[in-house]
Amino acid sequence: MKRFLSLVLCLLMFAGMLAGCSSNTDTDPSTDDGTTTTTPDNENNSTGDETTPSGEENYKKDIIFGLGGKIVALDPQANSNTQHNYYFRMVFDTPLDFNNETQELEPNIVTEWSTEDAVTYSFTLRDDVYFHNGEQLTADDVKFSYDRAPDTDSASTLGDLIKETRVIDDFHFEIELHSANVDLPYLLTLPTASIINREAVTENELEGTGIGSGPWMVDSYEFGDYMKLVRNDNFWGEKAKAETFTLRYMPETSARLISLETGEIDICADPDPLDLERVRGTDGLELQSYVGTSITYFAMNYKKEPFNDQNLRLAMAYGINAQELIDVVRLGEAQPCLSLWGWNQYGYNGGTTPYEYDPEKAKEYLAAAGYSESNPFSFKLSVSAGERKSCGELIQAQLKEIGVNVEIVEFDTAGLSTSTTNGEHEACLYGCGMNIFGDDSRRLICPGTGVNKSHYDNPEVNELMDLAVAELDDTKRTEYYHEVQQILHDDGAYVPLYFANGFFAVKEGTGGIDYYPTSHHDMSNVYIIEQ
Amino acid sequence: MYRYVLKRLVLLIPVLLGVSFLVYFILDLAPGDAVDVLAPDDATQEDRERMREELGLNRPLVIRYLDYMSDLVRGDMGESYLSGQPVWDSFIEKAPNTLLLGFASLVVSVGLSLPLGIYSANRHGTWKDNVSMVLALLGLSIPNFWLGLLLMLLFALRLGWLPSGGADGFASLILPAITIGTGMMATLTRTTRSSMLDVIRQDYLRTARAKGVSERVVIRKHALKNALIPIITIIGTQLGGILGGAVLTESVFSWPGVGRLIVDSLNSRDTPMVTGAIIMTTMFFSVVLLLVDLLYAFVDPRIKAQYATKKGGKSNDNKQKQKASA
Amino acid sequence: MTTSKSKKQAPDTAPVKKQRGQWAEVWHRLKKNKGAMVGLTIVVILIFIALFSDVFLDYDTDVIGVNTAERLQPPSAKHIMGTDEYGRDIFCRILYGTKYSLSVGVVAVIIALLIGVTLGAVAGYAGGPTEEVIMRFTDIFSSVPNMLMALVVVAALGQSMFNLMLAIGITSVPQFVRITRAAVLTVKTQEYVEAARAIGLRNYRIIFSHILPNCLSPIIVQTTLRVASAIISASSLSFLGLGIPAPDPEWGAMLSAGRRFIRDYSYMTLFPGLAIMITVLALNLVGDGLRDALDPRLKD
Repeated sequence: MKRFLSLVLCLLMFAGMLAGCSSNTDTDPSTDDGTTTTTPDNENNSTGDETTPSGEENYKKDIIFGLGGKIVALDPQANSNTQHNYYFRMVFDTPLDFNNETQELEPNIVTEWSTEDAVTYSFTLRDDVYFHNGEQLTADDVKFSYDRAPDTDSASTLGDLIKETRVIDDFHFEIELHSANVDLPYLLTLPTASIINREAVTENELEGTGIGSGPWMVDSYEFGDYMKLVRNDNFWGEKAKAETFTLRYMPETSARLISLETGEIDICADPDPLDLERVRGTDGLELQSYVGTSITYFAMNYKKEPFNDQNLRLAMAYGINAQELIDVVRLGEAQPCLSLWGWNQYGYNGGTTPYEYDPEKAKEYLAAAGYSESNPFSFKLSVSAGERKSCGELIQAQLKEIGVNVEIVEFDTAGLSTSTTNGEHEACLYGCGMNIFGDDSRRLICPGTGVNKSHYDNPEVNELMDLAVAELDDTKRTEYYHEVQQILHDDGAYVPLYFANGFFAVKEGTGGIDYYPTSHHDMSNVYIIEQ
Repeated sequence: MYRYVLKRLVLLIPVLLGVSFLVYFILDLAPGDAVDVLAPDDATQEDRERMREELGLNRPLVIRYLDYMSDLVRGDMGESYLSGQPVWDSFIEKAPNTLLLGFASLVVSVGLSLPLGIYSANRHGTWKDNVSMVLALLGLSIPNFWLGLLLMLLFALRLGWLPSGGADGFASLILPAITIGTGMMATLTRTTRSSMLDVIRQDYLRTARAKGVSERVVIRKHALKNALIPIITIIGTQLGGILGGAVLTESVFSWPGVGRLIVDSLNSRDTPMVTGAIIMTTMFFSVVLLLVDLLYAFVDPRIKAQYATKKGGKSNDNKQKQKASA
Repeated sequence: MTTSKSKKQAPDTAPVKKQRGQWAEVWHRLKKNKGAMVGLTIVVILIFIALFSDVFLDYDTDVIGVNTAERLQPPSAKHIMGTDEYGRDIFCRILYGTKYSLSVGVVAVIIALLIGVTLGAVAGYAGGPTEEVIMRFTDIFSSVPNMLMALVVVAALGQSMFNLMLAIGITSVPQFVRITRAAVLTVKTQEYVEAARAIGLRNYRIIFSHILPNCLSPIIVQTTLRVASAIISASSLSFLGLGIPAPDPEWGAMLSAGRRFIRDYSYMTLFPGLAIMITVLALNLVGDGLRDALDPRLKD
């Protein structure tokens, strides 16, 4: 009897397992719309039913975008990294827009703007902008958004600049700054300047922050997994061509590309440079690229031993072969970076301040700092995993040539961020994407912010940066910035290594992605034409 | 019996307390906190301080922990530092995926191990037995993320038969389930083989054979069901371990499960999320172990008798047996 | 039963056997297990490589020396396992890496062994509240899945070879505590222990000279198997980016680095993967063989 029972129990267990399998696969949340397909075969068979003819072309209805970072916030003022910005640009509106082709500011929900003194700006809003909950977007929402900004995680920089946002009437408002800042209009093109709805946010702070006025609306999401957007048919501007757009978190770079190849996703963000040739050579796939302004740099802690010695900093600057890093780590897919300015950033002093790789010169500086073969210099280099670790390993080998021993200390992102912010490191490899406006470099070279990984603090530079941001005369402002770059170069504050080229691997027929050199692309108008 | 169950459940409370304490305090040793992950590049020191204050991270560790615990005992697992979402919601979103993967792996593992173990026991002492056992051991010896990568390379890339990742229906379950399943195979095969060997020599099987019952029927009808008890134990232990053990496979196959949730949260110093998920995993693990022990007692009267008279410590011995073979 | 069995299998050695000690008997049984012998041979070779890798390889040039001119070369006569992304010879790195992988495995288990056996012996011998406290702590540690525990510990302590060993060691402690305690419990009541106690030996002497030597077999088996799984755990943590810092050629770290190149340069993951597999398999074979040899009842 007991034996029989044990058998029955075992069978029950199996039955349980099988039931578990089948019921769960059927109700998987990410597949319940029934249209996302997992195999290329399915897709080809069902394309006819899936697409709606719009104009002459057949646009694919559902687009799935695989990306390497996970989305964990709805609120455009709570996060500002690349993956969140994809979503923010699609779902929210910013007052102004930046045109990547003409490199000019353009109206968005703000139609006109003006300022006399770069302290007080006045703006006129469109009168046909509605939030996804049906509320009209008015100056009151703008005020609400910017009043809220100082206490948020990612919009606080913008919020701290603003002294007051004044509502003139429903469609007119003014922004008064604490001090003159000519870059404000550019700041208002960034996703952190997105306008949120007062009523929705007051009602429900967690969900309400996901209500914008952009061409896409949040449909469903699972933080750290996917976010599904649907087209906003009441959008005031050009409506999206696809019906749904899903951002899916796929942390493994190679697995992400494989998913594109097998047809599970339509767009693969940031494929590995190793795989570019394969993408180019695969039928039905296409490679889209842009020259990024994301600088990878070697930062030396200016504040403490050993790199408070200028000779040592310059020895590193001449002892590191950035071109070899580009060739080996990026497989040639990067541009030399000659200063701490983005190549398209205001005030860029392109090409006049490079460090040429020169081991002999590096040795001279080392000798000047008091090091020799019998007394070799060694230091610790903090890196995070992945590409920067690869750079670190190569730099380690390069510096060995000039008799410098590098010990690599690997951290995870949070660990690296903390130890470098607190100045516990000797040197580190880091990166940051440069925006279009000149004052953006402040966060790298002026004291007080997290990304100044050299803890660089030079009164001369600080003063020039302050002068420049308040300067209405373009010639003078450019001069200030050029001067700053020269000082940084002479001082050996950082060794800029390269601007990585950016890539998206996409299905053939994909278009409409507005590539931003900062890598915060606008995917609002993305489409895939189907044959 | 009921007292025993009650005792085990009561004993679970200090264990869970201990686990939460351990994890919470160890996590605090890690350099950096959630603010370092949340803060944008241009955040100033004041911004960071303000964010710390909002999350309560500016308070001493002990206060934070006590605060966390006082919520926890009221059933509130707190909110993620990163997303502000309740930890419970995030956990319960991922748990079914991991369980599903766990069951599927178990099916693979059982499907491979039982036949292999029986085959091996039947041909006990021959080279076929040796080869089978080495095969099973091989499953244990291959780093399973490596196997996962190789499987993905072959079946998803070269052949294009199966999806390479994600949790989209049955097809996407196959490769990760094989990856984990083969890893669990070794122990199960070994247990099947040895318990079959134990049973095969029993008198009533000799009798059955003597009666002229065919070997196949002997194995299927008589031997197997007697050998099942230890096998069930191993299955239970492995099932319990899956919730936390699938970390690597989930990462290779982009499977949105608990393991990946924990690794990601660990990287973003999301203490409430990591602690919460580990507590839940531990609880699941312990409850499964309890159920296995009960099942064991239920099918084996000798053990049942022990429970009636036992005094402490016995449960440890039981677990120890499973652990040793796990 | 043992005696009769051995006689049956090897009648000609039977007279000698009587004089053989317990360990000689074990060795005799182990020798007959082909798998275990193959495993043992491999393990001995690996230990040899690990000990003498510095003699035939120069760390700076052969192991971490970058040569970008020869990067990503497939296996050839010059580089029999090819080169990696920095032009380092994979064969040299794998040979040299034996040292790292083995020492991580061995040291981690030694840590676990020292803590686990001591606690287990004390718990088993002392009994009462001491036992209760130790076992409750063991319960706490063992109820967190091993991989998660190791992950949390490495993430918290930071990445270094020692922290890796420590993390893996800590997760193996509970098994050793349980096994030792169980073994001690069975030995404790034997007459010779009673005798030792009767003549007034101190507790720790009783534990270390009388009890432990007599419960060695399960501990030895567990140790061998644990080294195997520690090597796997180390490579797993490396794979998740929590392993030994660059540029040391630990196999798991090599595998993790090669993952990026798996599609076009699969040999970069193939060889370190095989190295791990062979090592772990060899250890498992030895462990299994030992288990059978120490407890012949299980085998037959």
